[in-house]
Amino acid sequence: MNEQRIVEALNNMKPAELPAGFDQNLHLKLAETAQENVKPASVFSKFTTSFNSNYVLVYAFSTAMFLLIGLAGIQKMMNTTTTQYAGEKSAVILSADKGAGSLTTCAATDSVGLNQESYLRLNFKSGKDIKGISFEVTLPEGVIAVGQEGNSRKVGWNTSLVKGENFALIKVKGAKSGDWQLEVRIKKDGLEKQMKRSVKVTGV
Amino acid sequence: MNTDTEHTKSESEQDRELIARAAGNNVTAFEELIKKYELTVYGIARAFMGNDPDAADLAQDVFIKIFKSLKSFRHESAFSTWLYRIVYTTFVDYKKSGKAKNIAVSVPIDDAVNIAAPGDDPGISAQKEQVRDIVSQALLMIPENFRLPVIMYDIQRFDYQEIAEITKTNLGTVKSRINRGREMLRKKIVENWGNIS
Repeated sequence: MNEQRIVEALNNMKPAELPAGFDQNLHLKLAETAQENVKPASVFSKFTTSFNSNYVLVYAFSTAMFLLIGLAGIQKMMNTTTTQYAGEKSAVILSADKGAGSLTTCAATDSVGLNQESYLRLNFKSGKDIKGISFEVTLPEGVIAVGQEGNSRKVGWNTSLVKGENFALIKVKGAKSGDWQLEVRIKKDGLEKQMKRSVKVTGV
Repeated sequence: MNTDTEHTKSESEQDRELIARAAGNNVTAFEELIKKYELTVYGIARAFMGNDPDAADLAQDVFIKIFKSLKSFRHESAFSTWLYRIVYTTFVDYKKSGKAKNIAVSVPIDDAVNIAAPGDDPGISAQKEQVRDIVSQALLMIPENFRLPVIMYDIQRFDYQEIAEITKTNLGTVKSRINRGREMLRKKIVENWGNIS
């Protein structure tokens, strides 16, 4: 292959597309970084002067969600798992129990205003570092993903999990009032785990 | 030195305002500010790392680094030049740090036969696709200080001057690295996939 052909191939590489969930995950990391930047002694003054009202709402929402998720997670771990398995065994075990190397997943019962944009936060607690894991969230009729090209009911991304708490934010909009369920599928090396979570769309 | 080329344009008044607000720890302003750079930064990361998960990690790391460093931006160069300089140094350091996980994959020589014999190929576009795959994989095999200028010039279409400013080197060095990078690519392709016609 000559240099001209190599240059031609380079010039014609397919344009990269941002993976699904990229902006949401970046937003979360930025929010955490912004929070770290605020010194504890002056949290309140800096918080009110540096953040605009939208961000405060998102941040307050995320914080509230975090607390809810934490409680829901503890309660969940005390109970019997309701998750389903598509595979029998794997090097990485996806389960909702407290075993070593396990991955527990929970999301708070959530509420989104009709025609309002909001972030659904999914919390994943992993017993160890897990690489090459893929997530697919299927949204119900009453909720649509914001900023998603094509199918606005499916959001998928590939990622790695670190030991401990991991989060994902999905920007959504309430489309139809009611109580709905979203489905989360987690895949790793042919093993698939599914779970359903509640989401409420309020307003008329 | 400010130029006004495709990737490194001088910032507008609106950008200056966003920079000031983002430097004050405002996430929303920062997200607005980086919107127009996201795809290019991700595109460089994708070509540099060779896979989406690593590229996403790296691109997000670099944006966090930029967010943290904004207070030190003194408008001595275009914001975009400053931003891409952080991209460049972060990418090189990322490889040195050993965080990168990509493994260059060699395609057996038999797989190159289809490319060498167009008559057996189902179509020209499929053949071009295979060539692009091979070039993408070979890119991962050349040193970072040659790989990045090739990605920036040949894939992302920065010009020599922009790359010189971003990498803080002179035009001659940039041109030399791009030419040597391409030659390294050619050699890697021959070594790993044979002499594809």
